[in-house]
Amino acid sequence: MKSHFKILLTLAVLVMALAPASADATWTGTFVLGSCCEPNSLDPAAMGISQTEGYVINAMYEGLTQYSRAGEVRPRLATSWEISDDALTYTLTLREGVQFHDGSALDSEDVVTSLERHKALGLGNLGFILAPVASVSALDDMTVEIQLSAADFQFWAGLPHIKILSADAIAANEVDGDMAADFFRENAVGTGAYELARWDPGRQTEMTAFADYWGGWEGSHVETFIARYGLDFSTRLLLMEDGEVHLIDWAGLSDIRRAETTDAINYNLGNPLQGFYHFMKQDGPLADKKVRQALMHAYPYEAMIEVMQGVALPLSSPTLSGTVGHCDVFEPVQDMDAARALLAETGYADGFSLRQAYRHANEPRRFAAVLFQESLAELGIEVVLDDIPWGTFIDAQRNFDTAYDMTSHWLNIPIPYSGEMLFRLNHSSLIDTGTGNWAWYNNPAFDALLEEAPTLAPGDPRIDELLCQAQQILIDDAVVIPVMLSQYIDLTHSSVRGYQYDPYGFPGDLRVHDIWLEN
Amino acid sequence: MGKLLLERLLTLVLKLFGMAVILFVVTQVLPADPAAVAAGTDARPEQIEKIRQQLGLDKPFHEQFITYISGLARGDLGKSLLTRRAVSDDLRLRFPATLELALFSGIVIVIFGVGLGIIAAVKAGSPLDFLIRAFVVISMGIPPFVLALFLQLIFAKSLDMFPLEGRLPTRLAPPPYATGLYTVDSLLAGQWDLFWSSLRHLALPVAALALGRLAVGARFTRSGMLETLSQPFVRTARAKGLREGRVIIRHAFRNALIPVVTMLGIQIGFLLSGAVLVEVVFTWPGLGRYAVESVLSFDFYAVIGAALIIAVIFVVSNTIVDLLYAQLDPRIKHR
Repeated sequence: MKSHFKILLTLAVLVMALAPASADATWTGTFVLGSCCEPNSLDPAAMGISQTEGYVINAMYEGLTQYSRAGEVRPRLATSWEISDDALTYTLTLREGVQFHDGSALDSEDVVTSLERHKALGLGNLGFILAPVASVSALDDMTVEIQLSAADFQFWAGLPHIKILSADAIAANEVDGDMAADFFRENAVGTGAYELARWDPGRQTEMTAFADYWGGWEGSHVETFIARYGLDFSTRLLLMEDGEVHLIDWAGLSDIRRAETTDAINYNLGNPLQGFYHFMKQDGPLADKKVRQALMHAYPYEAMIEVMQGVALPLSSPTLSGTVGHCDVFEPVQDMDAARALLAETGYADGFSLRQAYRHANEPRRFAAVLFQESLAELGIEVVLDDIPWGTFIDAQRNFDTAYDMTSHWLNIPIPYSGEMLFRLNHSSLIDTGTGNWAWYNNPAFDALLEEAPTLAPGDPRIDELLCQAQQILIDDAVVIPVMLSQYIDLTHSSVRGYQYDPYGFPGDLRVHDIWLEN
Repeated sequence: MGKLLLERLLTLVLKLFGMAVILFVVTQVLPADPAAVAAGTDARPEQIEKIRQQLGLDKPFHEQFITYISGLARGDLGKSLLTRRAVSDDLRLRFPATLELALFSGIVIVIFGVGLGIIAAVKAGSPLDFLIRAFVVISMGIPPFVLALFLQLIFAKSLDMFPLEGRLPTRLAPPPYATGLYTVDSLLAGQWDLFWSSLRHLALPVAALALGRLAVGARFTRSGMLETLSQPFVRTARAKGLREGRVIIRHAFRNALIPVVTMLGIQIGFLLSGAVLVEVVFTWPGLGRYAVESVLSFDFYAVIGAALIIAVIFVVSNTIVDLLYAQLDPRIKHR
């Protein structure tokens, strides 16, 4: 009898131990993302711009802070913080009771190790965020102090994207001082709501709800999150019609029409931190500011918005609304008479020829190139279009002689800070790197404004003032044409609830913890 | 046979070395920056430089060449710029998927292609022969990816008979890795449900890939058989009162096999290397898709690795064909 009681007691303890953390959770099945592309790595320190990479990493890892959907910095693994008046010292208090997927508890050592590791490896596109960090130290178990070598607003704006890893897992998997880079490429030990169950390269990544997640599981949630890769677009749609895929990212214009024909699929629009720009290299006829201004007048802004069938918004500035420092400095209206008048003032009224790089396979870039080509033909300007892949383009752009006269591109920024977009657009340090400033613009006054703005403390009104001046300079000098904000389109299955596009979740955050499925 | 194998092995090594050198040089002189592609479109220059250093792309050409070739001699195919894994690891994951697709397609081609060819030849001039020839002409004219889309719409979407895509259902984990062929690995693990599921997933991609090749097989077999059936030794066999089945299979078909085997050898090579579009449509994570993704992203080491594998396949399949010749025709063996 006594031994039976012992067995029953053991069983009861086992059942309690194996039970999910929250008895109030309602599990609603498996949420499947159908994506084109596979992450290169699951390591947050190597995070690039692939949305899929972001979806997976953001489900398994968390930062010290996070952006609300309105773009405000909110607590995450840090519950409170203090910023010194000179914006050089950031003191953060960590959240109690947070566990990593390996069972270790979050403390200051995890934060110190993660930030140092991220800064040292920095293979992804977020390396610049930690560049100004001079030191990270633990004041006590739950308080961390970050010291900057120079004030840099971008550090604070980018901190939500820097993920915290388990220091124990880093130490346990380090090989030859690689900071566990090999291990974290295909494994994940974060504090996120979902933990890695399996990554089948070429096929899918499967994540399951982390029972001890500090945010709890009260309410309805999905138990498993699967990111599927390599799905052809038509196959993704067929799978979604059958409820086998619940979310398709980066849908095309024609998919909206398809979604409208079935009740099984909904489409959603979002405004990403991404602008579409036309660059004019300052060479030949384009070295003349009046010629560039004429081309700015000739740009078919309205036609471009129209051809995008309602999923694009005009830009009134080189920066994006909703970002710190944005101001309206420009009216996107085509005026061919003004263009002709300006060209008449130059020696190029009889026309000339320009070479433009574009991608034919990309609908908006093709539309933009062809529409502008037609507009310029009316002014006697011939545009020769070259369809060129990214690797070849960037190689050509490094050399002034081989760089294209014109090119159109999207630029994404990871943080809602206009200075970052202006830097990518036209800062002189990017000349001959091929990674931005394809206008080969070199204006020390413009550079100085961009360099001063981030040294001010977060919230300083002079940030807006300086960046606004910088935007005005770009428009006056006519080096870059802000074409449009092409909206992000995604498709969701009709059973999906709780999903909302997050423009601040770089490079993509589905907030899977908020999602559930309804039968 | 031993001498032939040794000869082929030496030729293979030389061919692979030559190919690796040519591909390495070609990929290096292309006007493109693989580090920039690996870093992504919004990378900053410092990130691109870091990746360039990490991948050894900052070193002079001759240093990169020596490093690569000496690695190749040790069986190291380099590191993929895109996945950052060893190319050999990527190929180990991807190649079995394509091999499985090609093997099952090969079986279908041999059984149905050769079978239809024999029937058409035996029934030459009959309505059945006409039907088979019409089937052959139509099948050869349909590109595999078009057929793949039709098969998806009809058999997966409308009739719900077979899965739409993939090697396994999303919610099922693959069997423990032994060969990478899901059908074989699931059998080895005794996972019958997985075996059945992976077979069902193979049905449509195999059909899409095999139909056109099957038609070629049928055509080759028919013409070979027609020629052989008109030979005096077949008449002699019939005159001796042998059963018609024996005459066709033991006498005629065996002698018609040489061109058929040649064709099948070439087909196997094409099946392994030419399944790209079928792999894309059916989300089949195989070698073809890997090669295309690598080319598009200037992932040079991966491109060379995939090309070498394809070269090996062609040489091996041709060697097998040569060995089969010797088995089928003793005169070849004695020469």
